[in-house]
Amino acid sequence: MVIDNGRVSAGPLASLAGLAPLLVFSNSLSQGVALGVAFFLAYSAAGAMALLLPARLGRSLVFMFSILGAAVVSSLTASALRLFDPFLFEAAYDRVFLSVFTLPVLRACVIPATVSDRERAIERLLWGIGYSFLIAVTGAAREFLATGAVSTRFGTERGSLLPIFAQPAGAFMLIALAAAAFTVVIKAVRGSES
Amino acid sequence: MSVIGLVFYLTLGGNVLAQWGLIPSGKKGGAFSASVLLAFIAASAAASLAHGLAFRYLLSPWGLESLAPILFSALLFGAFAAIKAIGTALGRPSRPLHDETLFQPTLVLYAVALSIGSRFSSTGLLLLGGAAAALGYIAATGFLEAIMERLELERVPEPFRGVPLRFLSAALMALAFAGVDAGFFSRLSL
Repeated sequence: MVIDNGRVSAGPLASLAGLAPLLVFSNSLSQGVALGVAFFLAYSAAGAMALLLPARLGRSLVFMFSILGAAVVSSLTASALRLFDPFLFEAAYDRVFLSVFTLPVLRACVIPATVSDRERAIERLLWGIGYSFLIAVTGAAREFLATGAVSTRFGTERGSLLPIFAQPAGAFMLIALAAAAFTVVIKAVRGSES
Repeated sequence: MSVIGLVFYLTLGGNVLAQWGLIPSGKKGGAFSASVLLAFIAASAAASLAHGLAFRYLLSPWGLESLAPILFSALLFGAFAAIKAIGTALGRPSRPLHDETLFQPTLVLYAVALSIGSRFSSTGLLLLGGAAAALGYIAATGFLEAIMERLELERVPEPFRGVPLRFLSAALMALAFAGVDAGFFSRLSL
């Protein structure tokens, strides 16, 4: 995390822009969980392939194989989702596929440049879990704000509270507010430390 | 809907930035040359056509829709290898595929290919839809960068500067585009 002149300018918060396609579509708990799981599996597969493939293959080949690995895992996830809930698959399949090409997954496909980067695999895995959790929580929060309730079943008839939060614009607003709150908290923590 | 209406729809109501959350990083906003923008539009049209036709005639008849990400990866690697070979033949070095500046365009190309491929079936409409969607993304990116530059002059509360302000601006743009979509395009049949 980098705070430059009072603003969060890089690091995990900036990665929100890369996760935005999934956060925008995650407008209910069920879709959030499906996308979170799909993202985590693709991210883990990409990271594992980049770490485990021999470096002598070269950066480009390792990158290609890692993307292919993530794509295969994403295909399997979509197939499992289709068996589990066909309606949810119809609504979410394009975003499940898109998770392969989100920025965190593509960054995970790049072979670590140094030994110390390789040793941070657990840290990257934890970030993956965090991102997936964020996608699911965003879905639940948006569903609650939009309808006043949270349902574990996809397609359930619900009420209406603030319908804008079910729209992409609502997702952007929620992310902006969360990012601003995060900045305030980080600054307050740093201020109390100094 | 006419062809002109279709282009307007894909640049406004169906804009991939506003509807799919493809927020540009803004690090190099407005710094692209006309040739790069034209190449991006051409790549988007080609990606929509190739993915749309392969999805329709290779995957769907066999019930293999779930293999779409693998198909796009194969198309991406094939296109990259072709570009690299042409670059080598012309003596021009090309950027490696793992160059981070290529990540966002790749994501946008796939989103456009998915969006257009599921909407149209004819070759002409796939090409036109891909080009129009890329044009809409470039236009929306330009609008967003202009808004961000203008907001740099305003006294925005400190916690909202940077990433939060970019998302808030995108939210207002998405609202405007959704308004155009709901008020105009949703009343027409595509």
